[in-house]
Amino acid sequence: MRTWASPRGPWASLALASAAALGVGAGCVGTTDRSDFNEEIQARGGGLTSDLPSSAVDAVAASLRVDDFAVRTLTVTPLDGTVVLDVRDPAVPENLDRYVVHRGSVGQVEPIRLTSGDDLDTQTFRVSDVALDQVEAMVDTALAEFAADGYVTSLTIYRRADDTAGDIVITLALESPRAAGTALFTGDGDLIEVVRA
Amino acid sequence: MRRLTWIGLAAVGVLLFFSVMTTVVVAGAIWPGEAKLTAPLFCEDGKPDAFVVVDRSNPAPGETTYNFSLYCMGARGETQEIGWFRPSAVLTLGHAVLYVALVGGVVLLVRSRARRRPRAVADAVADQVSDGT
Repeated sequence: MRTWASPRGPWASLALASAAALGVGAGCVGTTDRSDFNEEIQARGGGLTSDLPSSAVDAVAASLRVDDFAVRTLTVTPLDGTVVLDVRDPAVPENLDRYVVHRGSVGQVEPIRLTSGDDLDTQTFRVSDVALDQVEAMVDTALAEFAADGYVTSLTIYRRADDTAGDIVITLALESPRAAGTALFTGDGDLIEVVRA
Repeated sequence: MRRLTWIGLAAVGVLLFFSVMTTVVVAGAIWPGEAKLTAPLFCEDGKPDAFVVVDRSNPAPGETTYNFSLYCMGARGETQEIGWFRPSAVLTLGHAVLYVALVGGVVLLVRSRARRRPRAVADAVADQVSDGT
């Protein structure tokens, strides 16, 4: 059997192996993989604080040049720092626009196509009516009810369209290694219930 | 005077080149975690934990690209994205300061030795003269 041998001897092989090892190792010293980073965020509860929705609301208000505005839904995804708001145009109230805000900066703004069944007067609510400054307390309450090793994946705020029409509902999507669920809060931040999926 | 200006500009250019190249090689290839040293300058209060997050992607078969970004994290997992440009700029400045300190130190060492040597020779000659008498 013929084996490969470096024509320059063992030192050349050693140098080549060292260079290869350096090449493989380079770019990794002191870094964290994206998946490990996301796991660290989840281990700390998911990364949802009132800063994300509040800064997004402030950014949209500045963009619209108003102090307060109405939305149909407000969705926060803390992992990527994105907030999506379906905003009722203050200048043209029959129009709804989708604002995508990333870490406090307004990105995309797109018009939303409405159906004949949409009634924006009953579907929308003013952002000032929501206790956005209570997000941390809501997260703590939800995780205490749900699981010690749980974390929040998203927050959604909407107005109920059933018998209790008019009520603003804040939902937290919860996950843990062994379960998934949803925590429901009133617009003031009071817990309604935690439902396991 | 004009010559001194040109020499000064050339020195700054060389310093800038070596600082940028050091940042590219060290922070961009060997030790990206070096960017964490700049975190105290950028991280907001309540987000003290710094991470250099690497995103690997394969834009073409056999080709792998790495994107680094500095993040700060708080106790609830809330994050602040700093990016890569600002830490790199600070690191380049830090490398420049290191080079200036290193070159300045070497220059001072050489000068102090050069001053000491003639005195030592003079002392030796004086010793010989005094021994001869």
